Amino acid sequence: MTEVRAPAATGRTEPAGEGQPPATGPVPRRRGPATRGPFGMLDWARWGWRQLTSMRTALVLLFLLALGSVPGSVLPQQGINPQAVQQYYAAHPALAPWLARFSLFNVFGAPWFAAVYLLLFLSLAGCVVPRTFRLAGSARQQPPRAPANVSRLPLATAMASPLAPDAALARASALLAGKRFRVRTGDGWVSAEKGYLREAGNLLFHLALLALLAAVGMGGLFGYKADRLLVAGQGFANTVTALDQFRPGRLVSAADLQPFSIALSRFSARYVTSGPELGQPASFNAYLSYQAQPGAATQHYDLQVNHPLNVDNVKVYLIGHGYAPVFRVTDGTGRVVFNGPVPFIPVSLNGLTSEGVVKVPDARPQQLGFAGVFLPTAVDAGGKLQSAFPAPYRPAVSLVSYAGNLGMNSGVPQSVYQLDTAGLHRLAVAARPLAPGQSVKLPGGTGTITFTGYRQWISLAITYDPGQLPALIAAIAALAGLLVSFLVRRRRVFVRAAARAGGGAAVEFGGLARTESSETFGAEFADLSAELSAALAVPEERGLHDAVPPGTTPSETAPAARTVPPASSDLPSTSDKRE
Amino acid sequence: MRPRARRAARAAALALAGAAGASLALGACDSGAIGNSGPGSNGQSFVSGSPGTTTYGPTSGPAAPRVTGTLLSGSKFTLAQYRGHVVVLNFWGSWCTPCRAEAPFLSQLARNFTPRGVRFLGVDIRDSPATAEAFQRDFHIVYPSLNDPGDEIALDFRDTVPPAGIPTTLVIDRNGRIGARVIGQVSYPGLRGLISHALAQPA
Amino acid sequence: MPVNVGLAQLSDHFLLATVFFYALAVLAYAGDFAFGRRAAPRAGKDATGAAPATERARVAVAAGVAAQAAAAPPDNAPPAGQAGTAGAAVAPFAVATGGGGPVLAAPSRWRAGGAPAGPWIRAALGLTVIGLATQILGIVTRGLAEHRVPWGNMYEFVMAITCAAVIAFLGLSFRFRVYAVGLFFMAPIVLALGLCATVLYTAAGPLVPALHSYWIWIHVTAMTVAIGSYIVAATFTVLYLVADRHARRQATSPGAGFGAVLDRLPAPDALDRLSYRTVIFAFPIWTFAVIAGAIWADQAWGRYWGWDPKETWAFITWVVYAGYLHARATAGWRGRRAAYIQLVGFASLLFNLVGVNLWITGLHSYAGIN
Repeated sequence: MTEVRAPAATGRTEPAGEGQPPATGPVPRRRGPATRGPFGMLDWARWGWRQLTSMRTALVLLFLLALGSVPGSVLPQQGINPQAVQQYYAAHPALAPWLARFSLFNVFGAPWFAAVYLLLFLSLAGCVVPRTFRLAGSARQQPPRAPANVSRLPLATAMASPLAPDAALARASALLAGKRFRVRTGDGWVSAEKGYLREAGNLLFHLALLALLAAVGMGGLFGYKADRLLVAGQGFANTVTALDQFRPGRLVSAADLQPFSIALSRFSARYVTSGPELGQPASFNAYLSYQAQPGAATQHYDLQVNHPLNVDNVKVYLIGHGYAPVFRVTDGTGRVVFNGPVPFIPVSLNGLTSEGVVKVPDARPQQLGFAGVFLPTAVDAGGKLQSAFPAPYRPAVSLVSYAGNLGMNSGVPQSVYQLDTAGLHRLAVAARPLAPGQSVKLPGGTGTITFTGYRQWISLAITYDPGQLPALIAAIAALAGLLVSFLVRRRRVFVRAAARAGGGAAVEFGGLARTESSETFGAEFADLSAELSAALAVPEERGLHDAVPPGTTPSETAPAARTVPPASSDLPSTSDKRE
Repeated sequence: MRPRARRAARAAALALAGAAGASLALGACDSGAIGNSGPGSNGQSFVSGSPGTTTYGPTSGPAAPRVTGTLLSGSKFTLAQYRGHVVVLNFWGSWCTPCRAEAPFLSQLARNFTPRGVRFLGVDIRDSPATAEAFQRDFHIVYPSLNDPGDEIALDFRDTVPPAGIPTTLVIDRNGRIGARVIGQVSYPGLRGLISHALAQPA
Repeated sequence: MPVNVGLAQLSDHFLLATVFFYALAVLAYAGDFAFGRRAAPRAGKDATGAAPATERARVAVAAGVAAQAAAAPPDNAPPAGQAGTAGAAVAPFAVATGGGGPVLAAPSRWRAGGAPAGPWIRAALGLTVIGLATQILGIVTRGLAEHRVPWGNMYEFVMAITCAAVIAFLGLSFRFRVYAVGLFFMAPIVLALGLCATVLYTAAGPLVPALHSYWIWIHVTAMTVAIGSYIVAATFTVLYLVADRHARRQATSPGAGFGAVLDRLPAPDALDRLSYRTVIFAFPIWTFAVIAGAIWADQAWGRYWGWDPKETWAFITWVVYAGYLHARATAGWRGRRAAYIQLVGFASLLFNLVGVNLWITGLHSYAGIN
């Protein structure tokens, strides 16, 4: 099956059995009703497997995968931006539930998406693994016999040599072996092949994709992601009770968390103070102290964006930052019922205006709640208070005060950044922004709130992904396999020598590139034939070192080198399966 | 390729792809045994955990770890001081709404069971002392609570029965073994039953 | 460090010069179409006489006919005397000298018309090279002005991509002498740069902290090279489709359609193979760029893949180009179908470049445009 095909055949498109090998050899007959009785379950399974592992199915699945990813990028996704999902629901109340039914707000976790990539990888494995076995088996496979008529090859040339045919062939085979061809000799011919690495590279690429899939899965099973917002001066340990969000893999339990602790000593943000980029962040530095285990030595780290902290194989990233104004609330009885920083969330990128909520559920006689806006650099812009710059040059807080029932005692979860005003009534307080140190006395003897100062907070993303390194290795292996399969060309050359009237041998030298590479192979063939003719030009007595350089003797004519492009492409075609 | 080798190769391919794909499919869903607090799903900014009660037999429960800390009042405390008593350990925070809902139950159970030798201890998470004391006044919590800003006490339990959310309540028997863990808001009869059960254990 | 305003202005001037020279180059290419000498004489027994035969053969081969036609003229060369004891084989690619010896074969397959570049083409190429020089100078001065690598927003990115595309195109056209393609390639480049200078323009400034990483050299540079190459490949594919349809029309009703323009294009098969080779070059680079991006994302955002819209569309583009490569290896899908697949991939690439930056907000929104 590996014989050189006649050039004409390669230009023809293959018969309509797509994904099937060209009918240039005996095709094993498939079992079916005509040959072996009723078409049973096993036959259906076999037919299904064959369909699944065909190239056409792979193409269709690839496109489905690409097409299925499109809604995942256009529609808001639950796992990335849940607020946007809720906004979408609000904006499209009729459409949104239908989209949710098809998991379009969670495309990459949807069952149909999983079905596509599982089928694709099944198809991939079904194609690649048998070929790996075949490659291993053919690692010592010999090149095919030389064709009877070497001069009919796409690239062919002829030369004459003073040597006897056998000697000429021996010298040719030595030359080719020296160039790391795999050589096979026969009666009156030498056949050589090079470029077996190509198939190995191709298989490495596809197997590495499988390994990548497995690594991603492993990370999803055994890894976890968590978030934590940390105010300067505070610390936390990596336990479930301390985390704001915890997204564990399926096989992760609370006891599996690495027991490190981190404290934030200070956070400093620098901003651009002049030019067109005024107010843009220039750098962020979070000065952390941490311990890998309880009782271990305390270490220090300057956490920045793009410079995560790696503690005990867990990575801690700086994701965001903001301001946490500090409040002290005295209730109607005169006791201090709240004293601490409250993280406010930035709502505008210019000037870092932030909003937040202070809930004082244990104030007596009435529970108190405050909705506030924090302005790092408060300026009066046409009657409206705005923040002109994100650094705290002139911090101010503006509060709206409420009293009543916060709704926290019923056990129903509430957002810590929102106030449920259903059970609250607004207090009549003059809307005056507070500078640090100033307080507001609430009417009706309900209490006092003092804005004592501010601190900064950072938000951390904590990720543990044991599959990350294997995924990287698999990706690099895939890239390496890809490069090898693209760069290495499989090519064959053949030499035939026959005794010539008048002494010596008439040598035919032909070559065939099995992939679309006539450019480079053409040049390589030219070099090879020049070297071969030089090697063969030297009679035996003189030895190779006194070889006459080519071109100094009258040339022999040769049939034209033809340049029929083989129709097979750079990727191993399906016809390879039949080798 | 010979038929048998081809079949073997095919089977290997199937197994390989199946394993890879299954691991990915399983891993893709990220709700684990702990329970899923989806990002921003309720903005409550803490992990509530999947509610449930786990009980251990009298000899199979892990031994409670050494716990030392500072009470809200400022004095030092160690769990060893309660050796020989049944201890109810409750992780709470004044900002946590299920904790506020169960606080009356804990207060009542403390009043009922303290004369019978049960000791209640709270572990307060992410509260300033002023806020925590206001909470205790509000709900008439008379038992002490440790202030745990650095989560050290939760860390102490990591090798045994870690608190897997807020609130979490542990019942420790007289021999210092953890007899039960309740994740989520306790119910009055539920916790009462666990305490009675622990009390009934021989020392 | 503050931006060096003088250098930034110099960079803007260089951009305008680039647009100017490229526009002139487009005119010169068009002039070649209108006024330049037609393709090499088909009949002729001079030195290049063999080449047109291989051109005919190339077209014929595309239709599946065996290449005996190509063999015909060279075979006519009578065998020179077989005398000579120490015969040396002649390399099969020696230039034909009338009356003996083998023929120049493989490289000429790719040559557009066989003729050397006429004056219009030479002018166009010269203008393109000058424009490329000013473009490179513009990019370099911008980088010097900002004290950072000069691709941090959409304006700079488009500048860099078009530069990479022009370099790729010049390389290919010098190697394979497909000059006629120049018109169809440079015109969109001029349009893109025009957009760059007007709509996309952003003043020089520092990078946002998230981009302060050495990975910007690796990931964004690789993306730039890959996208530039994909642009070249897409140009060749579009021309292939046009030329292929024209060739079929010619086969049925000669002389119809835009014959004068389309006859000057290289043969469809050559265009298809050029496009394929360019994708072969670009695909591993794109793969590498995605991997580098994932490593950088892990450092910056805490996860190496999060289905951010930009990541998703990069994935889609990768999958579609992988589909193109597979289609090229599948019977029944080569030729036009594979070309369409490649164009779908290119469309998703354009959406990734433009649409995701401008219309979808995600972690990758560094467009710098409001």
